[in-house]
Amino acid sequence: MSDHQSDDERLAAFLDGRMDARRREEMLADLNRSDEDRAVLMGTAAILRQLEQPEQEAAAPAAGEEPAEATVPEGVIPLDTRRAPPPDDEVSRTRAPVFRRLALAAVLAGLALVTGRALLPRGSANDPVRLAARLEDRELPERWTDNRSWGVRGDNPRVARTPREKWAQGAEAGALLVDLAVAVDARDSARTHLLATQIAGRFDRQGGRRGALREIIDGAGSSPRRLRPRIADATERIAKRLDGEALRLGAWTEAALLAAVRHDAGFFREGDAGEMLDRAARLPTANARTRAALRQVRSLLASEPLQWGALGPALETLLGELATE
Amino acid sequence: MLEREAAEALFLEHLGWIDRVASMACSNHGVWGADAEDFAASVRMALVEDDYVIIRRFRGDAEIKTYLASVVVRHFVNFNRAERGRWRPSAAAERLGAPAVDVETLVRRDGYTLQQAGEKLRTAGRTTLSDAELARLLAQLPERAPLRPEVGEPATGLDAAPGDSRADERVVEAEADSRRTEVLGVLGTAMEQLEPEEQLIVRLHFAEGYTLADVARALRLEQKPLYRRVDRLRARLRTLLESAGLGGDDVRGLYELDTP
Repeated sequence: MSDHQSDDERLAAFLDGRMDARRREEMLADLNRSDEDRAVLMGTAAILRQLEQPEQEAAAPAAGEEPAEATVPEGVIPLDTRRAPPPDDEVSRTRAPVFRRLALAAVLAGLALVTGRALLPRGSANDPVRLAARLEDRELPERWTDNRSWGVRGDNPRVARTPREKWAQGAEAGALLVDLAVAVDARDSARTHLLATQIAGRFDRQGGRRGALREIIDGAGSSPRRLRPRIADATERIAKRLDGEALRLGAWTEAALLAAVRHDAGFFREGDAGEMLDRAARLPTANARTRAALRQVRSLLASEPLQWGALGPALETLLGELATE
Repeated sequence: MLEREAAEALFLEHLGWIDRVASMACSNHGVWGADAEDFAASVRMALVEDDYVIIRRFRGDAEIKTYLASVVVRHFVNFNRAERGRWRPSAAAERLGAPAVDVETLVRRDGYTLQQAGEKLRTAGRTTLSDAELARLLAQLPERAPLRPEVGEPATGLDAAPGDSRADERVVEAEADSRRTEVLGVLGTAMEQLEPEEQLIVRLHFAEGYTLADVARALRLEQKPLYRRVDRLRARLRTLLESAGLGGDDVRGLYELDTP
């Protein structure tokens, strides 16, 4: 370990952006020559991102921007909507001041010292905002919102009453919410407006009139930081009315489809594909066609090299099955 | 150089951070249980050694947290190589998630039977899957030869005996090796014509499989323009290789230059 100390400080200075142009060029040349230094650079950068994210999320919002309304990080919502709404005193607690988060962090750090393990705050990894953030290219492909086989069916949709209808509409809503989150991140005002309108019309008319979706429709193209919490609000409302698990699985499948279309191997390196496919297979509403689609996706994900050309259509088929009433 | 007392104070102040980085390094590479505990202990030991010499030598050119993180990650890279050889989970296992990585590592790398691996993983709380479910998972992963750390002993006895492949197969393999060496030589020459930053982007993204988001973050580059820059780099590299007489088939396996 001691042989590389000066290298480690140079590398840290490189990561912190504290190098002048000449020293940076020298560092780049060294990184090209050393496999180990590249591994250390990329490993450190990944860990810094993972560990610093909660700190940044705990920080106060920038001037002129709205504060997030929940204890969870901005744009990340707990999708377990079956729990009862918090009482008023709990609501006031959920608007946690920074010191409360820091106190929690101190307790976690203390526990980490005792147990030798890090206990990090975790949000739902499968909410639409967070899934969109995992995509390497946060922009919807051209014509993405046209001609989706499971797309919006008419202006006067049927209210979901049976479990199967709730499941299918939940999956469809999850997929559309991921698209909306990507459009918001890209400041794609036209498709933000279109998707938020479609989602409101299909799943949350009240929200479209004077709720979170209305704010997104009116604010299309404005700061993602401002709109992401609104997507989280809309997601929570819709998950309550339909099916939270279906919404999560629809959202994951749509995000995976976007990743497959863009050959985004990083998305699948998160390692949650197996678990998500298992969960989809366990749903009581999964039929033979759903299971066949799941088998196909699973087998393609296990192939070496990854067959992007086949994976996209397979995920599209799976999504069609999940979102079919 | 910092005084011992100051270094000790820095160490204690950042002990939580050091442990979190160590834990995250392990978790990101499928190291858990006793191995992860051994690593955390070895990191603390290394930082305390010689009166905190690693911390005493910190000059303040970077943030202390970044410095400590890079020290810990380098220690992990060396620890992992020494303890586990050059094993990496298959991409398919990584895609299928932690249970697939764990069962692949225990069965394919460490040589446990499936039942032993299942028992070990369930006892450690790493999975709730049954042996049958783990078997189905393992069946989806590519077959790989066991890989152990190199011990530096020369091959003896049966290991040193000639293989049973036929002579004509060996000739084909030798030709393929020769072609590969030639392609790598041309590729190396083409790479030298790129700027150091471009070379690094090509290495990290095409050869080592990091996402452009990861590359942008590590090199402190804007992510969006990087996509267009990589497209231009890919086209330029392809032109350089074609002008050296190489076709798409020669380079596809190396840098996936045909990827749109």
